[in-house]
Amino acid sequence: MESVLAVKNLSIDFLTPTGSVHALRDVNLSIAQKRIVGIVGESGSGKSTVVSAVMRLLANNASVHSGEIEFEGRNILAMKEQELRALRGEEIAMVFQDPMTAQTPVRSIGQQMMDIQYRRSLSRKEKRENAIEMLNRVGIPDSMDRFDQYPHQFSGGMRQRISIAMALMMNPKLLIADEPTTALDVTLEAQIIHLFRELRKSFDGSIIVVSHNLGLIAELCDEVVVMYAGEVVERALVDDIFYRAAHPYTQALLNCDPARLGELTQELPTIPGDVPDLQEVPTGCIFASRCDQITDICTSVRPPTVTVNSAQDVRCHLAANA
Amino acid sequence: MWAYFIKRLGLSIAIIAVAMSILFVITHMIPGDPVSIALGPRATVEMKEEYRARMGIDLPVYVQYGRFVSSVLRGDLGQDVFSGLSVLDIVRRQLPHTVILVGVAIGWSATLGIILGCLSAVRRNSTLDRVIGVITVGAIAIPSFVVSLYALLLFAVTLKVLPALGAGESGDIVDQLKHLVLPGFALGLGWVGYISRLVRASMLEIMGENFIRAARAYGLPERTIVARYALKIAIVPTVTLLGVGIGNMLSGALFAEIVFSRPGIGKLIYDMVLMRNYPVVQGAVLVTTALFVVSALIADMINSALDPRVRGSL
Amino acid sequence: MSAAAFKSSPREQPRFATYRRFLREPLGIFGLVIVVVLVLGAVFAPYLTDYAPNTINIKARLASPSGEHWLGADHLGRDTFTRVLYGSRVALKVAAWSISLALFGGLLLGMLSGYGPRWLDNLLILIFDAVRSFPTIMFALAIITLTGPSLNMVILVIVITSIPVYARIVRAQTMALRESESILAARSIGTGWFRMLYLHILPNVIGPLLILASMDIPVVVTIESGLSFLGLGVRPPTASWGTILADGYAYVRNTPWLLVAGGVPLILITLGFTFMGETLRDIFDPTLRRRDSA
Repeated sequence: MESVLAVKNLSIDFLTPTGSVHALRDVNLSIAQKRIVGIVGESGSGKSTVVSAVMRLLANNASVHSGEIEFEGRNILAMKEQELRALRGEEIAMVFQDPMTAQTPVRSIGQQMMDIQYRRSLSRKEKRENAIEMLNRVGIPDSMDRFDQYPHQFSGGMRQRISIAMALMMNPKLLIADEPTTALDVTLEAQIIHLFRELRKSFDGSIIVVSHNLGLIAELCDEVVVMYAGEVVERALVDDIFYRAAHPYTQALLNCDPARLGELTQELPTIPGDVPDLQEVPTGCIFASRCDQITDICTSVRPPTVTVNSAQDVRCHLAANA
Repeated sequence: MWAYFIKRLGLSIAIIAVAMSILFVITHMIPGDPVSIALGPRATVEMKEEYRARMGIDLPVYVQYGRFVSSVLRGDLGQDVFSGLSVLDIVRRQLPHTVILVGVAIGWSATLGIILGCLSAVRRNSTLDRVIGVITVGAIAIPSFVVSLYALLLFAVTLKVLPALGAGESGDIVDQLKHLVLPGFALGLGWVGYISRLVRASMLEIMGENFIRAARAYGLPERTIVARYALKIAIVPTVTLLGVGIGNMLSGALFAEIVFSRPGIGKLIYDMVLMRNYPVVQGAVLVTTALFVVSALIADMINSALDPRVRGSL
Repeated sequence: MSAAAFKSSPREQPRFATYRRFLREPLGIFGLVIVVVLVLGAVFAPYLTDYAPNTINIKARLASPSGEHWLGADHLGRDTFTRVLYGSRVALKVAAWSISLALFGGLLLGMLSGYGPRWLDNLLILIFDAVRSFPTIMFALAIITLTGPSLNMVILVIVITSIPVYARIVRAQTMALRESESILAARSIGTGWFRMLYLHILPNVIGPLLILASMDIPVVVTIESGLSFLGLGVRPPTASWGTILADGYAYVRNTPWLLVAGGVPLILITLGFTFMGETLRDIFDPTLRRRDSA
């Protein structure tokens, strides 16, 4: 089954005045049709960089060192601006982290939603109806009246729903949600999770959810990709990740979850050490300096990616030598 | 939006009222006989007597103030003691010339300034950007009356391509336009510089915002993004600048009118100052000030139409 | 204008850091050089030229630049270069007096407005806005009609129209500081309002204000030149860049040199202070905004 999105050996550097930051190194992942895949990792793990690369919305100082990103077989990295624009919004759409800055303040949300439909030759009335229907689907009350209101007249939770509506309006094949609930409080987060679940019934595209929130990933995703400091360290189905995590980082991450406090220890557990400086990438395993199951080979040889069971990959010597 | 307008209107009226009062007060703050001071050494005794009676100089100050305010409200800005004409009429006859000049100057400088600013922002750090940057710094550095003088020197006297003086034959539009070129250019040159730099800075700031990135993610064409999403916001500081800068431009127009011998409020005030004819000066300054306050109000209302977030604040 | 901008002000950094940072900006240095040259020219004027500014010499009437008259001579044969030098004295005198007085008044009224009771603030703002609504030159002309032209009147008018601008800026900063933690802490131990203003608010307000004031110098000099050009500033035969321009205008068909000599110093002083001021501002607080200049 051809995957909707396939990231192959992607390496990206950021050029800074003090040197190159190797933000992504040899990243592989694939998204199949109608699947929800979560990318989880802490700040600096590269998860946002990966999805920005898919949309080709990286910062100016980013440079793709090697690798490919294939969307339905076509290499996104080789596309010209024209082709990309045809892709964005239509086939791949993105929901951003901060709802308060995601819509332009000087046009009503109705106008913005109609702007997105510019490629279709529809009448104004039809565009308006499409937009209102979409607003209804994401749960905006009084959508016909509020159609002409401006973004600042909506609350954060509403604006995130509007972002989702705008992303789904053209019925894309792939939806990327970059930290969709990070800027929202827990109640709003629960509402958005509920919304995603509802939408899933009617939306037949694939979804990528990027987050550092394990709980969100557990609620929504079918598969999980765990990233650390620019590398993919583990990929598995959601149950496998939570119950049978193979990589020491994933295990440590699960242990750090404050929701499980009291169950395991009385103190808030952390992972000792710091994320390494990506201008000087250390030899060996990227997690070696903080790993509690470290072996001799870990600091000298970069671990290969090993398949542990039918749908689970790990980049770790422990798994390789098992 | 209407509530905002009413508030701003009220404020503008209050400001004009205070400005009026200031003009009234200064005549009484100078030591000496207010009548002689106001009318200068050329006034005859009869003129002074008439002025004294009209203004009620012998009456208590607050009565004079009351008379002054009520007459202004009625539209009566007093009489020119020398010619007997109503000040309002004198001013009204000169006002259109100045308004045309300022209008032309704003028109061309704002248009060119916005275009250059957008170009600079979109092609940041390119050669074009740097060249525009240098030109704008140069344009800002020359005071507007010096530009008038140099324009006169270069185009009218040395090269003789454009007329030097006057407003042109009335009824002959082409001639009048020719006479507008140099003063309009001189008045607007500095503004092209300011506006271009301001638009560039605003655009750069906005293009870095999240919602622009989101708009790109929705696949919107760059032209739509620049024009409908970014520029609309970037214009706001420029509109404010123009609204506040009209006061400056009116001062500049005064010099342009004098250097190029054009009729207008500026020339009127200058001629009256030389004659020490205070009543006309006062009336003209009052009208000009009211004009300025009104333009600032209009600028604010334009901004609130452009950016709906403005409507809440005062 | 946030109070946070003050916490990281260079006053807390080692002294030399700011100077060294300044020296790395070529435009800033260029501006500084121009300013220094102008100031030195003004101060040492008598030593830089053999002529006196008002000496009439009909034989040299409207001479073009030459070895004898570096910038030529005007319609009365007076050496233009000398008059430009002495004119810079007038310019600097006006700048010094008017800006210091305006700063003083602006600081006072601005702090009062920002820190004092609401009604006072509203009243002062109304007055500030009203004064600012007069186009500067026209206001000057109104006053001069009554008092007659003189350099002191020019200074007075500039002070009156400048105070509202400075006061507004001081007011904004004072109001921002009022809510900052250091001020609240001082108030909680009962510091009186005078000490508050003098010891806590003033030092934080004055830095950026001085930079703004330095960028205001060319504006002020331009106003003086403009008024003198109209014959409503310095009395003849005193030399001022404005009067040189006026002579240049009167004799524009005879020689361009008077106009050049009168205008170029104005342009240079604008460039100089603007570059210097903008460089300083970028070092100290990039969030400052320029006020509109004439």
